[in-house]
Amino acid sequence: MIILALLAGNVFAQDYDLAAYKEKYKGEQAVQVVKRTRVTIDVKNDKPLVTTSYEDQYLLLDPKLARSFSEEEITTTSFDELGKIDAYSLMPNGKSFKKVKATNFQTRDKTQEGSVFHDDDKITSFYYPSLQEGSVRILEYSETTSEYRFPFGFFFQSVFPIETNEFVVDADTSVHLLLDLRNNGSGLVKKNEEIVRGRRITTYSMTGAKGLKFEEQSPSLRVYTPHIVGQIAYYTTKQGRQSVLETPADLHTWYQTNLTEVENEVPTEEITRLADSITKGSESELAKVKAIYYWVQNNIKYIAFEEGVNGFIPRQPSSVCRKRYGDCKDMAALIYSMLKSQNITAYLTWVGTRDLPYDYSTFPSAATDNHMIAVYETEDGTAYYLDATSAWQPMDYPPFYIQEKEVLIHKGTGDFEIRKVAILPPERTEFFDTSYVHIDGSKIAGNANVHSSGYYTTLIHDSFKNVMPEDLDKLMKNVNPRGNNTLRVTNSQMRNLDDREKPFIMSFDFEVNNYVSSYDKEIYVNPILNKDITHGEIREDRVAPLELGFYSSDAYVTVLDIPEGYTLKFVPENTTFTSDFVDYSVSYSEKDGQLMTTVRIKFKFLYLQPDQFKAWNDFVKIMKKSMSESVVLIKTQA
Amino acid sequence: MNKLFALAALLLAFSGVAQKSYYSDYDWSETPKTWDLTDKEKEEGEIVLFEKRGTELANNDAGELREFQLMHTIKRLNSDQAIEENNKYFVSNYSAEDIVFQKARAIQPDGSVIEVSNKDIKESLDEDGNVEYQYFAFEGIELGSIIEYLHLIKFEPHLTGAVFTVQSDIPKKHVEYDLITPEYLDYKVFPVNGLPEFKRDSTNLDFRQYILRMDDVEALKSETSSSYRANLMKAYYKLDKNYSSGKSNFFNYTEVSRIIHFRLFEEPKKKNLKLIRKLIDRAEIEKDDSETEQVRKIEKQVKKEFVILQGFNLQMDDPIAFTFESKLASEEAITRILLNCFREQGIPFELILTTDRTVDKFYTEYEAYNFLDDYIFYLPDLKMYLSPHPYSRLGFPPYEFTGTKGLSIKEVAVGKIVTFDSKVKEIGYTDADKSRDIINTTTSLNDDLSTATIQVERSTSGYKSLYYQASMDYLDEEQKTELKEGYLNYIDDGAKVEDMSFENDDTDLYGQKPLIGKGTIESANFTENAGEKVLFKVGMLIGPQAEMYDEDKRKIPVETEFTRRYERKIVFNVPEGYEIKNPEVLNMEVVPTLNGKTPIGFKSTYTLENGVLTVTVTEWYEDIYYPLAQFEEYKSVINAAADFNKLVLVLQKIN
Repeated sequence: MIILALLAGNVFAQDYDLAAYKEKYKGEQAVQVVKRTRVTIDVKNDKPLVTTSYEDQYLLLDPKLARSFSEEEITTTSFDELGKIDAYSLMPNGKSFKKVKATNFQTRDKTQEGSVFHDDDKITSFYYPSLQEGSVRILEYSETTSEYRFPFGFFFQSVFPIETNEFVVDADTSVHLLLDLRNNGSGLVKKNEEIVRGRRITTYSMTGAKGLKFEEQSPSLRVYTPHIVGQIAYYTTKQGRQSVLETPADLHTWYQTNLTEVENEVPTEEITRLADSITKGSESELAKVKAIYYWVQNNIKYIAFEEGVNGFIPRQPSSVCRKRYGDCKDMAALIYSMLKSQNITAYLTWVGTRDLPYDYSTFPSAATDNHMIAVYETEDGTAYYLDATSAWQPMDYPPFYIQEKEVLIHKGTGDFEIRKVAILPPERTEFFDTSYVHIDGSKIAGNANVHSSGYYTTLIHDSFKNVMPEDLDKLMKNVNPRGNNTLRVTNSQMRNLDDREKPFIMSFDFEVNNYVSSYDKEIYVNPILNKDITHGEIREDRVAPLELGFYSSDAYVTVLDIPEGYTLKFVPENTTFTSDFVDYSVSYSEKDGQLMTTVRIKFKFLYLQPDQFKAWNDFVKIMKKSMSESVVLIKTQA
Repeated sequence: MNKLFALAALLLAFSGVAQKSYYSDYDWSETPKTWDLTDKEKEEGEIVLFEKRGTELANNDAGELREFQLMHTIKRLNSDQAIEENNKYFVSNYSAEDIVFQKARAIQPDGSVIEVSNKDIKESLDEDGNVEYQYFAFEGIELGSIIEYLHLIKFEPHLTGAVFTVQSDIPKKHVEYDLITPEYLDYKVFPVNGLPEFKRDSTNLDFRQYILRMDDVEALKSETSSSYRANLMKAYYKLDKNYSSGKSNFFNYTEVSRIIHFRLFEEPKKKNLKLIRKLIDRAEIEKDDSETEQVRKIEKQVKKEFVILQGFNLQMDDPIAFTFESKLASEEAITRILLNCFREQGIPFELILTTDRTVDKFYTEYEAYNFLDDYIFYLPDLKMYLSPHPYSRLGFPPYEFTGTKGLSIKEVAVGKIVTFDSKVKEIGYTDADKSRDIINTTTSLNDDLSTATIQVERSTSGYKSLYYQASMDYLDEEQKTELKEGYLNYIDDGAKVEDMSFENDDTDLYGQKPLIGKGTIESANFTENAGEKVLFKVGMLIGPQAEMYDEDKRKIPVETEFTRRYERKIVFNVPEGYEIKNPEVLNMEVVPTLNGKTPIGFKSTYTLENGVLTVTVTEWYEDIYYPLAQFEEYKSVINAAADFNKLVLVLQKIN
């Protein structure tokens, strides 16, 4: 082993004053002393060449972190060429440090996990020996990408605090960039640009970035933390200006080449025959589109193969049809081809899920999308977003995860359209739960009817579709909790399980033990059976916005039979709360020997921002109070 | 672990003539078989129609023994879920020498067949460029499709103990299992959990063959508080006899003990012994430390100094030197270091080899390496166990290794010769009193009785502290605070805890001193307004309770993680001017008698004096195992606690 202090870098112990760091980052297990990424763009043989070098230095403040810090890995795709890896740690050794090299470098295929079944990613892993408190773990390496159109980027916040963040783009002045600094409302990220000897050097830096902890229902870091996304807009050569990705048209020009095979394939006999039989009896064009869309949802299973550029090119529809599986692009291509066989035009369309909060119109980039669908437009210009990866999506609902996003619709060679997907109003996604109950000693018993529509049904449908009959009562209980955990569900029934366009209806009998209290001539019962209907109070120090999947409108109604010989002695007051993010109400009414209690809640946000947390917590207090009220019944006849 | 036994293979001298695999001509029927299914079978989302597994030993041209594994599965898929779970197929052929053949096809409900072509079978390579596993997707599957998969793969023989797991959570219509050896070799088979015996099939005179043929293997679903995997029908098998050499019973525990003693107990090199002595110095053992204190200090030092990585399996010549140099350790290396520390300090110990009881019971009737995956130490002077596992501490090894059996090996000196003594022993489990969860609360209501102020004091010991205490040192301050809040607001999830104070919040004190936390919660969740009355949800003060209300048709015996005891003391200051109308609900007792004893129970009593209500609640589980015949009693105690959790007191103004 080498005594580094004598050889290189002049690293002395005071450079990493452990005591000072421990004081400054009290309670943290590590601090990332340096996070530096440098993107170097040259033009060679009239093509841009992009090389990215990374430098990470972590100082361990807590020896127990050595466990998780000892193993490190770098994932590379087939577009990347990994340069030399310099990985070592500096072990405190009196006034200086001892350099300890990382060992056991291994490169292997990435284990398949998550939604991708096959790709050609590689993992290079290695171990840092001898880490201890005060150790500095250093990793330096570079990568060259073979696809200069890919975006690059940099995040300024991570799990651990970062003392020095630096992102540098060092480009030949003939190269012009799109650089988008996001979420820098605080102004903490500083930008500096200078031209040095024919190079434009753009530096973004930030010091003292706080560590981010896990917070539930958080959106992607891209939505709320400062970061950069960038790419080459164009470059100039002797031949003049070479467009890369400056405008949506540039992006489309690139992307459309991936569709040639699909566009050129004449719908095969099998596809045509299949589409004929599926659309048989459908009168209108819209009905045919629907029949084909639903058939693909039902019959093509999601399996993704992502090998190199094949990660961007949809497979031939004939092959997808035969294999009965595919990824999003393959499904979109099959829908496209089946519709084509019926002389109906649909468009292959790129879109990103909401965790990529970029728009094509302002940042036309591969960073903007990760998904493909088919789009069908009616004569009046209404667009239907056909995404068959979601197996129970009614045609007039775009998948919830692309609401508010722009889509890039491929209309033909050199022809495209950008549309923005609207957010569906709360009324399109309802959950309407009615319980008819009577009191039986300390028990309540009765039956329930639950209507679910829109995105709620999309989410729960799969479980009901696959449940074995003997497990249906248990599933019903898990989806529809009420009372307390003594809940017993019997005689479960489902309606419209096979009809996307009607609300999914669940009905069942139930009883809940130990729910009703009584004393002397009085009975006490809280008619609000489900008190856990939304997120509770939000911690004041929460950093991330609170994310919901969609707007929705819920109602929980309890119709309570007033027992024979009893009258209502006390009924709680009604409650109403309205705001721009949520509406809530509880109301009571008595009619024909029954007490009806109605709880309504309407969610009107996708992201609740930190400046709304206080208002949310005030709402939660009002909601909780309204739910901790019991009705009192008194015996009036013997 | 297995590499320790590399020697074992050398002990077997085989003299064989080259044989073709019995299965080399095995094939599926060109035209897929049609299946006659009952209505119930048709309804199943997923059913195995046919499953054949064979393990065969045969000699290759070089006269070396090779193992062939045949797998042939035919499965019907009749739900979207079944399709999604089965359309992707992974074949682990780790350490395979050759894939003799491999094929897969899907058969459509209309009878058409789509075979997976070889070019569509992907390979995942490990760091040495070897195929670690293969995978592919079945094509053309729809509801009612049948998938069929067949392979024959050649391996180095696994002789020391393997297992066929016959039962799963999917029903199987017909299964066939074969064990085939050349005539001069013989397997021993040990079926468990109701699996029938394998029969000798003498139709083929060239081989020795054992077979199992079974129809309608029932699916077994997982159940709460059970060791699902240990209860499945399975057959363990190992090579047992070599008639040509006249040797038998190769893989027995005396032999294992000899190898382990030879490999793990070996006297360390001088320089390594020096490192170990220095480590003991750093542990700062005092002259008058008791043996318990010495062991604790050694354990603390070892677990602090080394990063113990699971699955860390580097080949190295000198594991002790490597571990001291790199600070990275496998559990085996930690075992070696602990063993030498104990020996240096003159602390008597036994090394026990055992296995996770939730996966395999440790059977004594059948000796094989299946049950020897993990190490723990027994310290006879202390009557306690110790595990090299990073999150465990003296007296509380991972519970999977308690309440079972293990192979114990200890060193004995006969004159000047150091040898070993080994036997299969019971591994005890800790008393319920050692793993307690105590929550004491004092509650007062504010003036309008809408908010409760609750002083909470919680104390957990032993395994009941594992989750909280053992993880303490691995968290940053914010995570620690969150964990501590969770510890105290257990009775009211998410409530804000004020004035928190903690004792023994230290991983090294796990198993030694209880974790004690105190704090105050203000919450509006404990009272409900009911006109002139107020309902006080007293039951919530014992915290949320597991329940078994829905468990009607229990199939697997209850097997718990560890024995335990819960104690709750609820002090409630009745608001001035109010009285409790129904305190009698607080008296509960569910204490079933099992075999003349009361190993489980739930009991609550109360006193009401000078405006102060005091409720004492105890709940205990003193056994780990409860046979099916005791299930109802077990459930009644679990549910009694869950019932108490819902109790409500009616508070009324005194007129």
